[in-house]
Amino acid sequence: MGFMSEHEQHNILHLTIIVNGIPESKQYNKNEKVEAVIKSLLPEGQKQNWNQYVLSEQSPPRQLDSSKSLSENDVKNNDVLAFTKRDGGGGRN
Amino acid sequence: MDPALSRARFLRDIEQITNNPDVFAKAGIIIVKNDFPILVVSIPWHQQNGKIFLHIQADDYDYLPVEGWWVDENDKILSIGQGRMPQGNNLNPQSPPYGENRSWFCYPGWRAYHFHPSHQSPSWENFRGSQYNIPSIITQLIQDLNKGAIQAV
Repeated sequence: MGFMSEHEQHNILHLTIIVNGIPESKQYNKNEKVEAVIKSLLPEGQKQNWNQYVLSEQSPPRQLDSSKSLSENDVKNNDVLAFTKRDGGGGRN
Repeated sequence: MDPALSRARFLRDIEQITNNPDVFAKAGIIIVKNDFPILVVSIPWHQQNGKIFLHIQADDYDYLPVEGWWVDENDKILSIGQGRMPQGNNLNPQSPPYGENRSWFCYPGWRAYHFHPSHQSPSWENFRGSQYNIPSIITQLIQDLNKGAIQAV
């Protein structure tokens, strides 16, 4: 891993995202759009369906705005987020 | 299904929570009872300014999907009229078409969904696996419980 400048470190968030029931910890740029994070969690061939998925804080429940960045959504370092379908029920799969 | 194998599949899933209790607590998932084939967790329900208890019954998992229903803090089945159960977003407080007197969830990953005549194709065999493991379907339930038009009945 290359050297990270102080400016770059300042923009880093260490987050844990629960994906398919499994916690995945990773560093994200706080200026990264939520839409981009959602796409990064989807496999190739599914990224065009990104709008069917959401990132949320779950306690208390708060769905992030996909058009805004992580920092604009007030996501903090060491937060835990959940990656889920926008709508999990009613015959969808 | 061999109960030992079912228990192993159950524990494989639940270890995601028991090995990462702080992470799942931040996601609002707290284990109240963990005794195969039963798992009871509390999950956040913002409309009630707090939490609701979820009973998961995992007999024959994952040959069959798990069953699930709402309970009180003592694992007693909730019933309509107490104002403590969600209704909406395919969270059904009334009894299912299978005769049991309890709530049910019309969601992939839950037995009541996959047993329904309307959901036989694709069958559970096409869902079984990581995307529909127990922590995953709990996390999805929290998402759907806390959005849109949900009533407490």
